[in-house]
Amino acid sequence: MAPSNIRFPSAEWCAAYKDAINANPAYQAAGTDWTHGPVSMVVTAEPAIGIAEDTAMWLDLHQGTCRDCRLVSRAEAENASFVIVASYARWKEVIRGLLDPTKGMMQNRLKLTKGHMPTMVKFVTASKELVASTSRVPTQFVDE
Amino acid sequence: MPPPMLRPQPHMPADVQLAPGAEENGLAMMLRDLVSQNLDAKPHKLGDFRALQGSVSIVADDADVALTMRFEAGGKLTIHDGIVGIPDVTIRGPSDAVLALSNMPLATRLGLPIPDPRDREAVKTVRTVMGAMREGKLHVYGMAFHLPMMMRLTKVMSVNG
Repeated sequence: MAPSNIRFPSAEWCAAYKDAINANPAYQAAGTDWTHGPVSMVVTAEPAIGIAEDTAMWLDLHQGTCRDCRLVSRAEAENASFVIVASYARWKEVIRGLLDPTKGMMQNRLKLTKGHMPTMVKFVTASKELVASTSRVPTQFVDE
Repeated sequence: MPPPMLRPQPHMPADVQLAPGAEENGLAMMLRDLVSQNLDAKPHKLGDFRALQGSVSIVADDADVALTMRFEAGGKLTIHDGIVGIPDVTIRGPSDAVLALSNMPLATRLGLPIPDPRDREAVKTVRTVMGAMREGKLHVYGMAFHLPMMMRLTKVMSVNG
């Protein structure tokens, strides 16, 4: 039986995302040396589609594994070492594999609002694999 | 009495700014953060930064983004949106290859960026850049005429070394 789609963003989606990251051997290889702390992915508020306030996924990443992924507020997300912010539409493109994260950042569609850019560049493959893992989560989008 | 000579001191932070109009250019913001944070973390690169003089344009074809970095002697970098003036060097290629240039292993004594075979990321980076050059996707125009500048730029921009 095909897995049912999980609403994005939600606590369930975060749990499935954690599993998807940990099931991705390419991420495990590329992120082996990652000891630079958690990463937050912030979805900006869009009341028209039911996202009343900024919502974030907090990823506790360490040496190629995801120790935790949970839904947090924007304020809590800002405590992460790296904060990436984008609109719902942009995250949707990322999850569907339609927007490459490197290209998205160069085009200012995805914004690194906090974090050490040289570290991001050094771990560009890990970042890509992290994002690629989103497409392995069967996702239901709230605007469809 | 004339004012004392203002010579950059080793502890002075690098002056890296976006020109008006570049605030919405994602690549410009990335490179501003990359250069300033790199110099903060690795002050031994400040000498090369302060010696840089000239302009370098970068075009990421697939992202439809371009910028120009203008270096002034003494340690000032201003990043402009688009191509401004006639750059000394122009780097043009796909976004992955453009970003990979900052992740290249620094040149060895042989003058070649040979990666440590145990460092899979470095090997992949060199393959990405060399592959893009071989396929004619990545071009560095003007490099032959500005080799010292390119060597300094590589050291300043590199997240390695």
